[in-house]
Amino acid sequence: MKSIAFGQYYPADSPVHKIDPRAKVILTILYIVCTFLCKNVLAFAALLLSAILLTSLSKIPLRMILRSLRPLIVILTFTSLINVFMTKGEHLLTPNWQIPFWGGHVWHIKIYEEGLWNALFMILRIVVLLIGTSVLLSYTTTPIALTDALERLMKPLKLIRVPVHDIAMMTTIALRFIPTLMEETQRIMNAQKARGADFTSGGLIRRAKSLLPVLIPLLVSAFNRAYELAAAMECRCYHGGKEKTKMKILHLRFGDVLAVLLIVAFGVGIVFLNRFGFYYTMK
Amino acid sequence: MAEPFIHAENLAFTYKGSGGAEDIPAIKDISLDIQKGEFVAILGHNGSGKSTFAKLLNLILEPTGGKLSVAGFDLCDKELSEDDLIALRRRVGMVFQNPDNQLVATIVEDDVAFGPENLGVPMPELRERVDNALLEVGMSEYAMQEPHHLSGGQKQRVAIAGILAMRPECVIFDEATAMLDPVGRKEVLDTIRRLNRENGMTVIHITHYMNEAAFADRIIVINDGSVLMDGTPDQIFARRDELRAVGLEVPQCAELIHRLKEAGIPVGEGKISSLEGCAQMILQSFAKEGASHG
Amino acid sequence: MDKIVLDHVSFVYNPGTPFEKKALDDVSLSIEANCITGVIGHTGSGKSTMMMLLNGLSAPSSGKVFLDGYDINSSFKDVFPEWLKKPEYATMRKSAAKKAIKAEVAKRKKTLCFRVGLVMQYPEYQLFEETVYKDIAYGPKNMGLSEEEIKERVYEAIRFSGLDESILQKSPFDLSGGQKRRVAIAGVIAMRPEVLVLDEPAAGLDPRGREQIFREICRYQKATSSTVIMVSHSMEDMAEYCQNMIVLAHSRLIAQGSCNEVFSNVSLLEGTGLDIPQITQLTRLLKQSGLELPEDVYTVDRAVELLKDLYQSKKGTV
Repeated sequence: MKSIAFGQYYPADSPVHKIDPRAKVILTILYIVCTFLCKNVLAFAALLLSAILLTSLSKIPLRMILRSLRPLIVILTFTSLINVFMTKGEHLLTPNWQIPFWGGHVWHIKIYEEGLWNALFMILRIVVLLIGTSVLLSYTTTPIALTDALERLMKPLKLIRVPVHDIAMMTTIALRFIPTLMEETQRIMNAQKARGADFTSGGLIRRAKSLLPVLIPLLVSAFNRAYELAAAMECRCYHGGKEKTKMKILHLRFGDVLAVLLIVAFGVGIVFLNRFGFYYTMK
Repeated sequence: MAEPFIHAENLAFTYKGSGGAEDIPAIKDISLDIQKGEFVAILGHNGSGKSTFAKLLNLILEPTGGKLSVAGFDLCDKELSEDDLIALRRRVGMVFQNPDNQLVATIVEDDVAFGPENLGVPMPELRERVDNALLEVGMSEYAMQEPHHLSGGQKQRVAIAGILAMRPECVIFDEATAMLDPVGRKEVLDTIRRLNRENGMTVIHITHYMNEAAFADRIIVINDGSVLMDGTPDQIFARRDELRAVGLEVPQCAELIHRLKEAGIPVGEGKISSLEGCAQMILQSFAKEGASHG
Repeated sequence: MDKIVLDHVSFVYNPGTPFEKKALDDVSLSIEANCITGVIGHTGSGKSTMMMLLNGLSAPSSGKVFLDGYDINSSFKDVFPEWLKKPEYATMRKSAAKKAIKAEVAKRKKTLCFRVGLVMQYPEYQLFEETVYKDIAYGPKNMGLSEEEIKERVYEAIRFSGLDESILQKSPFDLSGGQKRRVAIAGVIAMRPEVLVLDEPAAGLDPRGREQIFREICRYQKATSSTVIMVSHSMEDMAEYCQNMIVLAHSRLIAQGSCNEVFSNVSLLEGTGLDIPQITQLTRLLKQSGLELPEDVYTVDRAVELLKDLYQSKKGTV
């Protein structure tokens, strides 16, 4: 249907949306570094604060961000369990907890205070990492701006013969055709359902097999599209990246530079906070 | 008289059969001239070779026999340089059947910019070309939209803008209306007519809709890879039986005139390709009847 | 008799999101059995959405769809108290009746797509098998029929499509566009649906291809006495091949009835984004110029008839 929302781009008029996409890519990398720099409570508190600030600046509804965190619950639980049970430290919280097993074996449960801290920090790190990347990149940058930014940032790679332009062109075309092919998949599935196809019952193999009547027509149509698109591109004088001009030239503005500087300062601040031995410092 | 924009002489094209399959001659023998500024409709049933002919005109396919020159380029010259090829395609643009399969970018104005970007048009001019092209097809307000949110007719108009931004002298519409609904078809057809009338663009419109061909200055009917008829819409629509023999139909009004003639009502000659013309012809024959008896 | 009834049906895409869109708005209509009904409307009028409701591919957001008087989206709970009074269940013990009714409702749901066969737009894109035979057999196979039965139905379907039987062993991808289209339609016909629904069966075909497809559909309808529903935006075609007509515009029902009834109200159709047949426009122009013609001429045959009579009477009276 026409309303397939592609990607996660959330249109809004915010300072974060306005940052140059190249700057945003760099900001994201720096922000990821910052999350890994954090070592103690103070630093993590600052990190959490920054994530909240960033979200409110971007005007993205909190509901949307929380929803995107939902799939992480499994990973978060898993990593925190590992941290809680596997971290060895000095302050044992469970002096004499034992679970008897069959055959006389006994499992000694040893949970250290350090383990709890580690688990908490791990959760914070992952959550902030996700909020940071999604707010800085996927929610506030259109896919096309992102490809454009990556092409420009990767330009130096041309020197070592990486076909940067071709990669960018392919990405753009892929982004352009994903909604079209999704619509087509839906249409073919409906057509086969109308002929009694059943995509939901049976085991894995049977289900995979039942998708053939969808995959084959989809593949045939994708090849036809590719062939026609190639002809259309030739007709519009496409001949690779050489001598090509660009309509949209990105200009780094003062705000973009400032944003990068701010995040560098933030990183320095975190290193500074790490020096205070408050409660517990991660190793 | 100036040299024709398109000149074909005994033009032939054969699809080479692969893997032992037979060769298929799609174009057998086409000779015609098309002048600058003409609006030509090329008609034929599916498989008549009309689309193949279009693809020869800007060298998506290479002729296998005869002569073909377009915009001063000899298309049978095997040594045509890549620069010449690009120059040819800039001057002779092409709009295809499926609107989805010719848009490359995820934003309308970026797509329109694709052609001129490839040509290396520098910046202030590039922006101006894109804005003008969108204005010309009436899609300016959709400049920042994503193509998959547009209707078929709108997508096709974006595709036309993408060609116009290259500033061509001739645009070929290869069944560009076949997949559209009546509203979309009208949008596209109105755009085509305006380009021809107001900008003097040479237009080659390939279709199997007779109603659309009626708007052209000239109709060329292609059958079995050869030219079957060549004339004004009025001349062509007067030859209903021959058209029907090659799987084509005249519009309802022209059909009515033919049927009335068969029924013995003396309908004269006239502008059979337009609705008003047909009404005129019928009214005249009735008036004559009234007068001769009165 | 009414084969299909839509009762105050509405359909909303993506309800509760910013992309919410009403595709059908309180549509009530009935489709007569054993004839061809044309559904016309411009793109986005809701006609394609309506098609998907008829065979249960999607369920209405509100309202009901009846096939032979049975609400096709009804659940076990909806029918249980009612059916329990039916003679065939009334004699059973309650638990047995419950089981039987449950099974019957499930069966009806499952067989619905076989009873109402849907041919989507550009159906040639659904072909996938190695041979035409196998592709046409796909539907009947999903019905769980025996090999002989499948074979019989495939041959019957290919005859209805007007194609030669020799085509059955070919790959569907080697056929021409028009042939592919007809094979795809045969694939649905082979399920012997009581109702055949076709969405734009002639889209993109040349005049000869269009005529052939429409003729085969008419022939099929007469031979099987089934109910056929055709969706199109061409009034010219629908006027020629349908007995009844339904007009949709902007998600609402504009008109329904026999072709005569619908076309006699031409003014209603204007502004719906549909083309009035050229012949209707012509006769109205002639009428304005003083010829005594009715408003509702929508086929060339009828126009010829009328003008001939008019000419004769003029000749006679003067």
